[in-house]
Amino acid sequence: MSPEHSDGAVRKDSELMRRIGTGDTGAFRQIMTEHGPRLIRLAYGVTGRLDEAEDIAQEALLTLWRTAPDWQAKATIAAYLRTVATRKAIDVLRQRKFQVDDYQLDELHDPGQGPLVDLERSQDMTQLLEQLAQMPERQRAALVLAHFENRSHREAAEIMEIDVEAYSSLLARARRALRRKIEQSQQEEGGGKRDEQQI
Amino acid sequence: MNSKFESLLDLYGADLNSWPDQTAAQKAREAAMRDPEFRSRLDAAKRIDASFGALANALDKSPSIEAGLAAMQSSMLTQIEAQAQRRRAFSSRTLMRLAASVVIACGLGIGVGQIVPDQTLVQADAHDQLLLGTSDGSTHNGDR
Repeated sequence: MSPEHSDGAVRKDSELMRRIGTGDTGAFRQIMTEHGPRLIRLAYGVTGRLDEAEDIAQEALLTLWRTAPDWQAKATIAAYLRTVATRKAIDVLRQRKFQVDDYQLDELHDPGQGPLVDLERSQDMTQLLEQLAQMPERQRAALVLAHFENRSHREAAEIMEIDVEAYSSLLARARRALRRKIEQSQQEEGGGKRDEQQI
Repeated sequence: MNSKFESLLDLYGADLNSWPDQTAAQKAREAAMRDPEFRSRLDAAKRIDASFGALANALDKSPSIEAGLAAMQSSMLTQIEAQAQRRRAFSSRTLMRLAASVVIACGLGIGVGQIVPDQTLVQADAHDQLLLGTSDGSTHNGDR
């Protein structure tokens, strides 16, 4: 049992939810501060859009607020929010009327601090986002749950409402597709370098 | 190249230490040492992990997200304020406090009623005595 799912964590969250259920906005503010950034990160990973990610995070938190009076102490707040946000993010992608070919990366850049990461890593990250943008929504979600959220196959399968085998297969397909693209670009880079040396 | 290791790589990721089957992980390490093709696959998988890590880091430090979060919190608190007030007013704890107050007030009322005699009854008794006299047949005037 992960610390997040321990009885102690569930009880602690249950008390926090009881307070929210009685209108304690301080307790809700605490949850927004603690879980908000992570929810935006998760939703961005699936949708690739910061504005949509913020909307999804907000909706997930408001769903939690509405649920508070009837909260059943079965799961932690983090697990609940993660599930709601992932499902909403998948829905947003499905309902998108226009196809977005790439992820918003520029908005993550902080002009005051120079480049976010070194050039090679930045190129890898750009390439990763380009590949993610071309993936079906469920494969994106599977990758985000594994790599951003570090969820086990069982936990991720629960969140996505599929069985563990289906999730494992989805994740393996997504990883393989990404890896092949990266390998391809590595070969092209290698070929390019060899060509330069020959010249 | 052994396709079994490639499948395991896609299933469990590039961190061989996190594979559930450590015997298979050890064999994959050995395969990476002797098979350049598998080594290249493993390296590509590690680059993907590193890219995800870099992206997560960039998102965590992004000033755009920080600013968006502050605006989001403020907007949500405004949205929920009216409902929060209603919840505070009708929360079970508030209702229990109200019920407890009523019970205490009733208890106090009964207690005080038993200790302090009812003034109207006292006055009525006094009038009866004046008009009708006491049970031994005398009135206040009849004493004379």
